[in-house]
Amino acid sequence: MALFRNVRCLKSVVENRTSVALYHKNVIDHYENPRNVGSLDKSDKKVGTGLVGAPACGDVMKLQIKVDDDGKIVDARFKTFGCGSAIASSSLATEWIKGKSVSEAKDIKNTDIAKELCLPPVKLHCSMLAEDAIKAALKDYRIKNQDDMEDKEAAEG
Amino acid sequence: MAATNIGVAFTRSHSALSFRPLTKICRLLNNADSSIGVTSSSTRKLVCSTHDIEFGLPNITRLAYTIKSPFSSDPKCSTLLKLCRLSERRQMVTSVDEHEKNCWRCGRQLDLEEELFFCECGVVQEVSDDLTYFELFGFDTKFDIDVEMLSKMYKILQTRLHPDKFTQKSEEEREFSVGQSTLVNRAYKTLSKPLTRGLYLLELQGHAVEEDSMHEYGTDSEFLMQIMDLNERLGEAESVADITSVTNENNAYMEECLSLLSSAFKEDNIDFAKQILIKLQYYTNVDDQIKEKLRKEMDI
Repeated sequence: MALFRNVRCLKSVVENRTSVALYHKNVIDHYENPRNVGSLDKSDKKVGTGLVGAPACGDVMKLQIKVDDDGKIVDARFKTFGCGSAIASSSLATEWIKGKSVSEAKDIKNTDIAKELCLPPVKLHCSMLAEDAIKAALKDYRIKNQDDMEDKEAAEG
Repeated sequence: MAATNIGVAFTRSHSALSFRPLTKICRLLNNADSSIGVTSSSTRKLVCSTHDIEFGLPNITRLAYTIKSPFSSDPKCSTLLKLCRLSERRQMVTSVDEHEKNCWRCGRQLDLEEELFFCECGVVQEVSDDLTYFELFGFDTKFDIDVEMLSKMYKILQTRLHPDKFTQKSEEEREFSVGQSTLVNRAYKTLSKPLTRGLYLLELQGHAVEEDSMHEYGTDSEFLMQIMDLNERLGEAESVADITSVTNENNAYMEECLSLLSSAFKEDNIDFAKQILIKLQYYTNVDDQIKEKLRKEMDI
């Protein structure tokens, strides 16, 4: 039995190795040391939450931002259940949007993410998912703070 | 009623190539005897309106025999019968059915219902890559199939086609057996699971789930929240009991999807079937994670 178990362990090691070897080193870096994993308080008015899914592969991605009074993203978190490329794309996305203003974050394109991670064509949709997640989080924040923004504009106007 | 209409009706939802012989049959029927009306009621069916009869897949041999047996005494069927007889004498083979095949070794014409993989002479045949996975196993192109039957057929075929059985045979036979066995494997893998079978069926009908369709199908946040929750709970599960609770819930969702899927396909509600399949994909991913986690628990 012990022998069988060893064989099985060995097999899974080999399998893991081959599946990881297919990814670019930039993906593996984010996959093995994902940045900003976790959650922010969804009910916080300063937190925007984006939840998106990829219909073709069933990956699901949650990306959250925390915005200060000046409209700067001070914190970002993600939780992704999916392939290595999807995890890496969302990890990179949180890294990039941190410190950016809300309007700057809006301009992040999936092609930039894909380029940075050297994603192959079949994995481009993972970077699209990350871009969608950013957009969804920004939208959620905007809707939550719509009244304040209007007040502010009215006061300025 | 016109032959050309039938051609259009069939080719719209299926690949033009597979149904070309059928158009030819229809044209022949209509030219030969105008009293025989042939029309299509639904895809994949050929309907003779004057006799209120239907024929299944457009396999000329089978079609001919189906007509022959119950209607041989009906004078109106004379043209059809003539066609059957012609077909029997194989004079129509080249002109009507492009799918007819001959054994590459003995040259005998193959009965594609019985001899798709092996000729009667015992020799393995070339791969028929123009058939759908359903046709390969002799099923109707429908979502609900007899999975038990599929498994039985798969096992028999794989035993007969296994490359080990061909080590002493000629190079062609070795090559063909590998091709056939790979195709049978792929077809079985696709058809045996409801998710892949459903997705394949959508693909055949030209409604494949595209990778960039998230704007169309990825916005139901309540559903995504549920998936997120299942995944998170699974990730945090520390005991087999915790895992079992997630498993039970996920299994219930999958069961629900399967019954909805079956009726959606039955009602030909393709868009609904697509939505359910997408959900099933998410639940299946959770299921894979559950299995992975349980495997790790066992290893420790």
